[in-house]
Amino acid sequence: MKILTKPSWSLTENLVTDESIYKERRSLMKVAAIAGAGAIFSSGLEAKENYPGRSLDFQKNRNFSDLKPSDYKQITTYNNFYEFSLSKDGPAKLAHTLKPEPWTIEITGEVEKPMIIDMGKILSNFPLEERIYRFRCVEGWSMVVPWVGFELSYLLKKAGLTSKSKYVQFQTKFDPEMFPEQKNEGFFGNIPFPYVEGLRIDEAMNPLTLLSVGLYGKTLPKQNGAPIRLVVPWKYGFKSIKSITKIHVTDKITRSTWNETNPREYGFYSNVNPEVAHPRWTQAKERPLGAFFKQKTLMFNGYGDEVASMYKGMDLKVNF
Amino acid sequence: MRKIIWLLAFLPLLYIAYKLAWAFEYPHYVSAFIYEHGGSFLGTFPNDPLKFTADRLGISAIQFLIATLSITPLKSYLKINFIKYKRLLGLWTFAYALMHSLFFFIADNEGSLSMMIEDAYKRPFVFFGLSAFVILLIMAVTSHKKLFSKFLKWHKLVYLATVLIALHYMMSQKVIGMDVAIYVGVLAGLLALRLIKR
Repeated sequence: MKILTKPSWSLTENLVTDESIYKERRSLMKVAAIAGAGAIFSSGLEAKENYPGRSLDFQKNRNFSDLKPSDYKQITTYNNFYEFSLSKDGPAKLAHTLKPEPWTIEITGEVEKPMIIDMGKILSNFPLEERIYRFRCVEGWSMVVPWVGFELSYLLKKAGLTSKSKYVQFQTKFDPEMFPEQKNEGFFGNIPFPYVEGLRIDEAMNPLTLLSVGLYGKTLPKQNGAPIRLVVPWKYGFKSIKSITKIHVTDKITRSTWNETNPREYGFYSNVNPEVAHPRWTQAKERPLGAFFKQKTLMFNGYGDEVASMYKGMDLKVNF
Repeated sequence: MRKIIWLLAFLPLLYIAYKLAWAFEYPHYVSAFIYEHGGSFLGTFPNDPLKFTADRLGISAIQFLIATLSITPLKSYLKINFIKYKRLLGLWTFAYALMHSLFFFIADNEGSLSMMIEDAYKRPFVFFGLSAFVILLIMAVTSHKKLFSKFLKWHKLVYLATVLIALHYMMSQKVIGMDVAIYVGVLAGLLALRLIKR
């Protein structure tokens, strides 16, 4: 087993800012100020303290991979959240109906201690850290998100796994008052609700797999899956299920909404793989948000060192 | 009327220019000015500029196709005669199809002919789009006064192009939402109107 001295997810802030960059930032901020509040120039230079949400207490990790996070505005205004809208800009405008408090997660199935745990307990039981991860959507766009959360493995260990714990199933909250489109299942492009996703137990226990409660140091915006969501950075984004209320551990393979909607196009694993095309489009390249040029997609979204061993010997074209 | 058509034809281009200008040091001042003076509904820099541009050009092509296909039914069913504008609308359909295809060629296929051929071979929606483009190209060229009477019959290919375009549009989206369904519905309806008449 390869022993890593530096986990790839562990990232630093670039502490020393080059003077020319410093000056450019000053002039751009002046433009933003003249143009008015509301961050009309998406530069990510707005003060982080002013982002909405509650501040979270977390440990900052070092940026070994030197990933540049996408702008807060990009991350929070480009969302696939069909419970609110089929459009990307819809959720930011419509997610206000989501009430992230009070919120509990019910853990059931093949665990020693099934439980119902509320967000307060979750936040006090598990120390938070910042993880700057790449995020790759199956549609072909990508971004980098500075998530705040804790490893899913900590919560699963608390519940206690058994020899029958083979798969983990997740479910988004079902509440059509909060998620209006849940009433319109099957209507013009809508998927079946509630949204479900699943992981193999080794994928769930992998140190990369995160339960995220925030981004950019504040609690998750509603359109990003408040108050708690999954982040599985080496898989296509639809596996990173949002607004979780149920976790069920089982010995049978789990359901995945997109896989059920279109099994030919969306597989159980859905590992990011430039060599395995989507039936209708290629996955060899991706469009980073805000960029005018595509960039090469990395195998396992760049997390091969940490995850490739889980798929050794598997034909990834068959197990897509 | 011609002036109105030309104005409407340039609006999508101006919109694209406004949106993309946000990313550039000096042009963004123009966009900021527009935004500050009643233009806030236009939004700022698109989060996915490549997709935004390709989509906006493609949708405009479909919109002009719908306008072009409406001319004959308008005359047949409502006795409104806009026949003299058909060629102009058709050429703008082709113009947007050309811009959309060129953009795709440069952004997705990196200006490589071999890449484009491979893409057309492997991805049906690219093949349909390319075929529709070729039909529109033929129609655009033969719409010239000196060629039109000889190639009149070829212009029936617009029906095939419409079907290809509808398929191309549906297959390029992850799911078929209501707006896609409406465009395809309108195209299907216009096809039906034209074909029933014959």
